[in-house]
Amino acid sequence: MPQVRERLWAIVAPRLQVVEHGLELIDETFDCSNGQLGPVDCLARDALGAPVLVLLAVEGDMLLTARALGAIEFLDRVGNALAAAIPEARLVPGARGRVLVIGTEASTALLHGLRRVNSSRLQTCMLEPFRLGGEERFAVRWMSAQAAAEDPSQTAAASEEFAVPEGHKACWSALQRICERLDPEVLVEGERFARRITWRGHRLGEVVVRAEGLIGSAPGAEDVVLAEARDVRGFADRLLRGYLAVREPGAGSPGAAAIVREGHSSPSSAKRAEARAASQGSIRSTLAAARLSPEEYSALGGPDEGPAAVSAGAADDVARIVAAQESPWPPTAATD
Amino acid sequence: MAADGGDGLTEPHRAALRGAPRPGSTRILLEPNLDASKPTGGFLRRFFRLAGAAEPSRAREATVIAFASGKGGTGKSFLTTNAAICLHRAGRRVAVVDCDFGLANAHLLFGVTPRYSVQHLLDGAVSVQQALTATPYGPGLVAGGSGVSSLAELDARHMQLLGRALHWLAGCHDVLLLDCPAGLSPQSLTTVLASQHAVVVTNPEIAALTDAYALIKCLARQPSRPQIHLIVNRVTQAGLGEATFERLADVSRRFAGCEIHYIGEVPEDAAVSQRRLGQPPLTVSHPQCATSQAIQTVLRNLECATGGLLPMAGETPGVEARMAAQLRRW
Repeated sequence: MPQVRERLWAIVAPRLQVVEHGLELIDETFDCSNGQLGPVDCLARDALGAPVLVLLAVEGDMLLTARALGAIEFLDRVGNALAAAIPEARLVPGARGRVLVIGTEASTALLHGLRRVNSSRLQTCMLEPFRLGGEERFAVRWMSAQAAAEDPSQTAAASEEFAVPEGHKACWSALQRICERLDPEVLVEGERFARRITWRGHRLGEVVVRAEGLIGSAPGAEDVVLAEARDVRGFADRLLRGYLAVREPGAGSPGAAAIVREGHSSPSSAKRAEARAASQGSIRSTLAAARLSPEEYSALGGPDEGPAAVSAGAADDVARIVAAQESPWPPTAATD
Repeated sequence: MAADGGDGLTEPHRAALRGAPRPGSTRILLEPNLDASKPTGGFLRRFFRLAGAAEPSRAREATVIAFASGKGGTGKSFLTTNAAICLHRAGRRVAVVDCDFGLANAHLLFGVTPRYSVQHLLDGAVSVQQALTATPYGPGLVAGGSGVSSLAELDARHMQLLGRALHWLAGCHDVLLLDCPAGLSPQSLTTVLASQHAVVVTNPEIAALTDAYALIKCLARQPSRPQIHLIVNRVTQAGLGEATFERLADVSRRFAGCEIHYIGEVPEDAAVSQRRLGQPPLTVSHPQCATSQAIQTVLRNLECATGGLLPMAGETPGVEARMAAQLRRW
């Protein structure tokens, strides 16, 4: 049995990030039972900064359940004090600790037994090996305690419930709704602390849980904390761009048609070049270039002092709209 | 099937059934892409091609016209609603979409209290069919929002949803009128660029003129833009509209390299500004007044300029595709 444990540990230790996003090894052989039951296999920190006591389930380990229960009791007793007691672990005070039992096919019976332990602190998962190109890899199968109690033959849930931090649940729900509406084939899947958003295998983005909250990351863009509805909309905007890019590759390049069309009556080559440059930019950049020059303003019949007030009307309207955000529906305002 | 003919089938039916492929001789392949109008494929399109039959063309899509202006209060909503009523009376199926997501008022001019607005549509709470409100004067209306997020908060996803809604509306109407919000924003500009014709509504005063020019200048810089038409509203003396147009067209030509098309002027009418909520639109209550007549003239000119406001067909990108093209440039 010790050799089996050694081999399993050699596999698990460098792959904690694969088992769960953000899971980080703090120290091996963490003994929390005064030597009575033997040490847990490691102390780790999860993406939220909470302590995780990791146990390996090895076939024939008759004390596994006892050690798991001991670890749960330990966390119940002193879990909140661990942050202060192990400062080098950089645990987040108040973050709820848990016990994670990792097994293999050989220890299925032990894991099934553990799933009858009714504690929200306990989680079990199974590593399922397979070979790809001659290389051994592992799939992580999370096991649901609730399902086991009801139906032992139903072994596992494909992925765990996403551990969305309190205060970010509304943002996560909003983002899920957006993904659903974006395309029925957009998949949101992953594990406890990470969800990948894909469309037909193309990665559109990822949402992960870190100590600072819910983080959205999309290819080619900086990570963003999804703290408010505005952040979610911004992140969804990036997802949409990625979706459009993979759905219609090659579409775009909007500049060509414009250059042809503009040729007919441009005032000068400089103006044409300016228009061409603007046309190849984004809509926002063309809006920024819409400010009237003094010559244009004067030609329209305005006073010569300049176009200071030119955009005032439009700005006023935008302000008017913004101010109306909280007005009731239907409005009773005067007509346009 | 009864052998004695008691099944009620006639001989031609029997012959047809005898000639039909037997089970096992035909492989039926199902694929989700049934859109025959897609240029690059689609099951139905390939089916028609293999059968040697004429391939079906893209479904007809309404002419989409955006009424826009740089400045608020120029009379966009007034002209949009009355134009819709006139077009409906001329026998066209018309829908108005109030794209003013912040301060909508087209429903007030139509005298209806819609249950759902574009806000519900963009939130995914209702379908476009549910959001489409019938008005007493004929045209359908998708009411704008109020208390909705401001224009600046509408992101590309919302605009994509709007594009899908417009696509559906365009498929079951002849003319789609978009009452665009005042001001320049990516959202309002995208809406205008998704249309085939942009009707810029301005007034002779300098503030409205400069804001209209700012909008035209923005449109002129886009890689694909709608045809730009100009209406000069609230004209205090006959001919002032054309003079205003001449000035604006000259500046647009010289500085923005853009041609605009004049479709008429609408006189200043105290009866319009003094109208109260609940009163029928002017073209209904006073169809013979100068303003109503001017609106009719403007519409005739618009029809001439657009080739009869005929629904679009063929391989031309539809309103959803045009909007999607703009969203890629956000």
